[in-house]
Amino acid sequence: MKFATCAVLASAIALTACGTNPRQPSESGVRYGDAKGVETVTNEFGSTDLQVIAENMAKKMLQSPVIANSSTVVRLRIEDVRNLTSEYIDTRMITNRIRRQLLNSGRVEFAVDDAGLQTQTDGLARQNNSGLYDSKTTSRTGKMEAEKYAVRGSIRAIVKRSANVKDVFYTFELSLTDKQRGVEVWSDDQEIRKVSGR
Amino acid sequence: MIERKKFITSLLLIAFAVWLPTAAQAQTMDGKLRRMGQTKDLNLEDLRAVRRNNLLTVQATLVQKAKRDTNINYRFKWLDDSGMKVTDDEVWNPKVIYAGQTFELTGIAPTPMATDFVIEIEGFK
Repeated sequence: MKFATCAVLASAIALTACGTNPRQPSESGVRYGDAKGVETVTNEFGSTDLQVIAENMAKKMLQSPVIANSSTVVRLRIEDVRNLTSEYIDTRMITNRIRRQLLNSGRVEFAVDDAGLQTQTDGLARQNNSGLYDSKTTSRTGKMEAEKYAVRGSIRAIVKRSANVKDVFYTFELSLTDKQRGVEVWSDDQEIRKVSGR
Repeated sequence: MIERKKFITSLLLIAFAVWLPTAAQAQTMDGKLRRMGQTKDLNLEDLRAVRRNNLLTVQATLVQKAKRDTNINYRFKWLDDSGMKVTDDEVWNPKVIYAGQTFELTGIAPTPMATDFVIEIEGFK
């Protein structure tokens, strides 16, 4: 009787443990990785490069005299980063990440870029021309605010190969241009070197 | 004899007064560095923080004591007055350190809400 009770209890505990074990090994070998970790699977442009470039360049730009010495929020317009390497790089990810980093500082704001302009004007037209909305609540046309500075970026690479070594040197450049004066007022870069053996 | 005792006591008190702030400072500096992996050869020589353009800016100076090149990953964690994180974790920054090199790790807080920080550093061969 005693043995039977113990066996039932042990089985119940074992079943409960199996059902709730958060570290149950996956049969497929799938596991989650650290999204902020250093990725060195290959020496092509990777997630770490994207994150390092975006974080560091945004911080450097916030220290530029144009933004740092401004007593008001600086209005910018960011253009898509140009990829001048031979690799395929989704530069929109870099652009978006730099924009988020800059916005979170509270020092800058962004005028709608080319990608969002059609949606913005469609929205204004819908509010003002459809006759569906109370005019007291609509956003009026002709009140959009233009940017004072344009943010432009590009990424380039130098690749060298030998029989045993591949060396990739990325340089990411970011600049601020005064739209009215047509003058570049700030520029900086971030360099990354990746070396792999065969 | 009593005068001599008084003199020695005074000297000890002065020495203690000089040592106490230095010891406290050292403890504070080391407390800002969270070490992982092989970092025993990295000495924190200097640590300074200033608020520049309303953003906390930190510079840590370290010395590599080992006689070989090593690799580190590092990142800053930005905190408020109560020690709570004010942003998501930053990305780990990879860096090559040469034997005997003195180098600086510089961090700029992404938001004015950051008033404190810690540096995470991971060393490996």
